[in-house]
Amino acid sequence: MTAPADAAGTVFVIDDDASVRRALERKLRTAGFRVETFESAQDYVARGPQAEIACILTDVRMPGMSGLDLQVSLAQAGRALPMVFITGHGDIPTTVRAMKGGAVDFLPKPSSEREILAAVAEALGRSAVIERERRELGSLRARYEALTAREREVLALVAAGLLNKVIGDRLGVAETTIKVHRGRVMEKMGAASLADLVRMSERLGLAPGADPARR
Amino acid sequence: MASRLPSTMIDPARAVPAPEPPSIGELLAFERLLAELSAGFVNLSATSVDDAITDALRRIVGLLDVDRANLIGFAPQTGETYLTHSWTVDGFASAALRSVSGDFPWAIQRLQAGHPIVFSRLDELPAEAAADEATWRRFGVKANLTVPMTVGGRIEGAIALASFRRERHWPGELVSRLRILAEVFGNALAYKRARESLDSAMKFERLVSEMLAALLTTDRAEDRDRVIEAGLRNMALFLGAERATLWERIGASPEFRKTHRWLAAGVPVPPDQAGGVAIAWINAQIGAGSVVRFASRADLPPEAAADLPALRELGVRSLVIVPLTVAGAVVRALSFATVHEERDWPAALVPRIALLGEVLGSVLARDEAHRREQEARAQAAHATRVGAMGAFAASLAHELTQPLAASLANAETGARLLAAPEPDLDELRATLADIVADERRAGDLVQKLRRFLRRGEVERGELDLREVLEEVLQLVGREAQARGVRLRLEIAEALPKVVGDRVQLQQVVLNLLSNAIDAVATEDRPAREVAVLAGRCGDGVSVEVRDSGAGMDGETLARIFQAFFTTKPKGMGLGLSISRTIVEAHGGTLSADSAPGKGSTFRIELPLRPSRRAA
Repeated sequence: MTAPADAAGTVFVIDDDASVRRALERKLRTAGFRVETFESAQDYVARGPQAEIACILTDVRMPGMSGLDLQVSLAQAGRALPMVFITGHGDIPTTVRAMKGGAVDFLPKPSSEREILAAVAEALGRSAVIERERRELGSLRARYEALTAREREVLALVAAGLLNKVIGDRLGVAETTIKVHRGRVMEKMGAASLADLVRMSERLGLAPGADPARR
Repeated sequence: MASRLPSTMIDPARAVPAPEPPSIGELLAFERLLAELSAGFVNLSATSVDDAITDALRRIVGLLDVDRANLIGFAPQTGETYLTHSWTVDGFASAALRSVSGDFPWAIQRLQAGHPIVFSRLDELPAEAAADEATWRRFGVKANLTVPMTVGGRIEGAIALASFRRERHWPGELVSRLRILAEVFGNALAYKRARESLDSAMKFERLVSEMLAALLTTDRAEDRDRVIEAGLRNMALFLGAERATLWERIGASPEFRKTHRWLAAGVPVPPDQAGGVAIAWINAQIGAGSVVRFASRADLPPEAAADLPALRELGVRSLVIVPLTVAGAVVRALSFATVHEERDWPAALVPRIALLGEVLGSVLARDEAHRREQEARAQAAHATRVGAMGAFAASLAHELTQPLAASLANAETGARLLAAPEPDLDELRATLADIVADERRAGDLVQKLRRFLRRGEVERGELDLREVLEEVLQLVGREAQARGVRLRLEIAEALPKVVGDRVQLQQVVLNLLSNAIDAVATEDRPAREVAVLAGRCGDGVSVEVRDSGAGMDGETLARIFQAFFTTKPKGMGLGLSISRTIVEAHGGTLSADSAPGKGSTFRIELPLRPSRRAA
């Protein structure tokens, strides 16, 4: 087993059994992951660990807060991470609940190394994707924030598919002025094409036809 | 004078003329003898009565100037007449103490009818007495006076005075005084017989009670067998038997098999006969509750002919065999036999043998019942133990999965580490150490479970209470956690060890803990706790299981130890009843204290050592 491509990821291991915790920590660490262990879900919540790319590997059934409870709690707090569950007595309802909550995998206990590493790698991969998207969205927002109010208006209407002339009429300015604004928006947002600009506005949550300035 | 004798057979015409009546001195001497004998016989022991009688006979011989005095006894059962005591003056041979039935047919008949025999010369005897006369002549008797001896109104013998040296007259006063003397002798003999029979009865009672005492204080089956065999030996020696055997009925079949036996020295071991002994007639009698006894095989009735070969093969000459019944059914038999000679087994022995049999039978039946009860109890205990453990099955599976999952993970990690170009040996060593520790942990748990669930013999040993309690807490700890219940164990310092069965005591604690967890788990409050407290109490130790649950009302509390009483939807209602039985079998007590809203406390008190009889 080779170390995953994105070895920068951190695995948060939560298990109330010290032996299991130790064994998982060793397995993941020697496989090239960064690992942090927690003896309970409460412990995890209290310590609130941070990592850009991370996933949680947790036992389902633990004294106090269960793995499923943690999943719900993190989602509510907006701190969700890809989660891999391990259970010695998985039943279908529990599995369904976990998967609906966005679990990456649901492993029986004991599981083979291949299954565990594959599940963790996938969870970290998912975390990496999420992280990249999060970063992209952040830079997009920053660029959007740099637009003037007029430019944002123009962007919304352009993204809604209106022609320069119609936009000019609606905003009560000349078509040529709109053309200038549009060129500035394309440049500031770093859009290569109109289609690119439309996609960006969608990601920013600017509904077609909506006027973000009036929100 | 002769006419004063009752029904005398003396022909007055042929009578020897009365020489002289007895002198006053003679009469006084005789009165004195009577008085002395009467007083003397009262304080005699049974064994010295014989000597006293013989001595009295000697004094009579001297006093009355006769040559021999005899005491004669009639055996009531056999009808034989025995010479039991005799005194002869010096110069004449002593009389042999033996049966004289055939020697004096006429005289015995007369005496038994209450008449004396009086003759001064042999030719006074009537013609019918020819045989008797021949005997007297053979013994050299010239004159004789014999009076019947009456005991309690029954004629049981006679006193006879004989003169060898001369013919002589017997004064009437002498005859009546001799009758009184006979009565004194008779009373002494009756006393002797009563004493003997009392002694023998007492000896028998003592043997039986000794044996009973030995049996009741003997716990182990092997020891009990030895006591029974010793008892058979004592009884056989007492009864004069050479072989004593205790038989057990084979199921409901008519046959019996030997369970215990004693053989006198020199008595051959009878051949073991496969499939029981072929004595169908005897078995049928015993099976029907009848006693079989015979002094000789020839006494057996013709119907018993088929039993003879087997009896011959076993060497049984005489036998008494008594059936032993329990609740109306013949389950055992007790037999005494002789193999060297034939002997009579008087009917009077039968009740004694039956008593002995009853003692043995009841002790053995009690054992059997005890054993069955133990078995049933062990089965019920096992069933509830399995049931109790079943409630923890999921938790235990999880508990077992943990170390196995950890060691599998470590093993695979180890394999991967080894495959590296430069394996990290420190990491590998740590990995292997972890694998060993986890495997051991899993093995321990499995062993504990197996020990707990095993359907085994009760094993008594010295137990460390801390160890016992910690193991149980480990078994249920996971389940308690999962149900949000905190378990607290508090054990006093330096708790002495207790003697008991580990599994049984753990079962009790498990049961109490399981109930306590149920009681608090349903409570809607943050602090759900069950406390287990162990400490000293008096001469023993106590273990308390306390919960903060809803508690019980008095009515429920009064019934919780009853079998099949339960408040749980899936409960069998045996847990507490069996727990109490177990604790009591350890010589301890199990009690409960509870009130609605105040939780419950169950308290086990154990002596350091259970009493001997405790199961």
